[in-house]
Amino acid sequence: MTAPRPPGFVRQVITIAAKDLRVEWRSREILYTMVLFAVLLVVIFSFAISGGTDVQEHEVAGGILWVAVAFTGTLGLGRIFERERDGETIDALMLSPIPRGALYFGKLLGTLAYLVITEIVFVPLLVGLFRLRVEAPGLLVLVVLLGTLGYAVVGSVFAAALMRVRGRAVMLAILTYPIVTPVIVAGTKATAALLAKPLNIEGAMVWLQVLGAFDVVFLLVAPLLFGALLSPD
Amino acid sequence: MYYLLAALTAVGFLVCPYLVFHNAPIEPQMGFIQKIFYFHVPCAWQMLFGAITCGIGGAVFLFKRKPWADRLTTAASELTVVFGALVMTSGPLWARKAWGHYWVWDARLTSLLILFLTFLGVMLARRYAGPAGRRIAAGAALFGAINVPLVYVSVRIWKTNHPSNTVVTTLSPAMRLAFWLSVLTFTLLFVLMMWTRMRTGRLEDEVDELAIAIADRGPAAPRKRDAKAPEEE
Repeated sequence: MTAPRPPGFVRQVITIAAKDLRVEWRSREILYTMVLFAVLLVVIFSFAISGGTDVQEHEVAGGILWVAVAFTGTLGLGRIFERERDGETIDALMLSPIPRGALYFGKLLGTLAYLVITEIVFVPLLVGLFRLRVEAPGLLVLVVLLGTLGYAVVGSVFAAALMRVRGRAVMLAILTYPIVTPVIVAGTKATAALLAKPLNIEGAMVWLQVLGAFDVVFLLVAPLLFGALLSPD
Repeated sequence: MYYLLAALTAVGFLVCPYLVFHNAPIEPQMGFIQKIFYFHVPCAWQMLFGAITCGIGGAVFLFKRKPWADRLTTAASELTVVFGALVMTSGPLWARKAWGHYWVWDARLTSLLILFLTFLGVMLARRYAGPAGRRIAAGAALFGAINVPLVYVSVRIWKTNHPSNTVVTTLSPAMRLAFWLSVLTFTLLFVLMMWTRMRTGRLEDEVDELAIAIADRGPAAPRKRDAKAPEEE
């Protein structure tokens, strides 16, 4: 008797991500806290920064957007892997006969889903609070997606590695933020260029290329690193 | 060999100041403050060297799990931080005179700051993240090293006013001698410190192994302090 053929790579990735989202959908704990946290961040930053007459509002809004992505991302990533650890389900995942790469991309997809849902709430709020006009919505979405991908690609590697470490929340920030600097810089500048009056497409395109390069490089390296980081010594 | 290296480094630190302050002429434009250059640039090179070494050590440790690679990563991360601190104290002193500000958001300065923060994170992870710290530090080091060109490109699109590498080729002969001897001396210092730190690391590992061996044998007599137990959560 032959063993049943295991599902293909893409199938495995989707199964992992779907599992994460299904578990989340039952409590919606991570999503609700992430969204509320992001909204609070945006509002507090708006109070703290806006109001002056000579404030470059599109620059400020771009900055706030990416700070919010970084902060909520850290919060969400920590919780996603904590849930696996608390339920001791990570051991089951590690024992399951799927490549570490599939596990990584599954987790990445789940993380992206959380972040994108959060962004759907807070990005329009930010644009509204700063009374900005979005003239190139497609490009703005692309910038936000590419930047979020870059952040999640790096963040999920460290979040997984830090799962069993004391003080993991702050450690995750310490390790991730310097490495995602190109994402934050390029994301901020691209967003500002797209929200500027008049619209600055050329400026945005330069930074979009930086975002793309970052995503490609780390998408190639991160799955390899993920496997190595999760294997015990 | 070790002591020979130490002696050579010591001689270097005696000869260099003489060459720098006595032989090398005062640079007409910048004046006396230019002397920082003989200290600043070699340190910056050692810092980069440390970061690259750390990344390579991290890769070897992650994929081959050789204990020496962990010691190399640890030592290199600490040296990167030490030399980074030297660069970032000597730089502003010069910049205050040359640019009128201690800090400007220039490509090189920003890249170096990010590099410094990345390897500070590596160092902290190695030290505080418990048994997983070795892997996490190695992963962060590898990511950090890969990230160097990305950080550099992304911040370079901002304007640059740092003196470029071509400064080195335009030095007068006396300056050149002093400069290259400084570079050599700092390289010797780097190797010496690396050597020392790796030796300490090996001793630390041996002490840990002995402590575990003692703990495994069970207490023959009541001990004052428990041997260091593995701290996995």
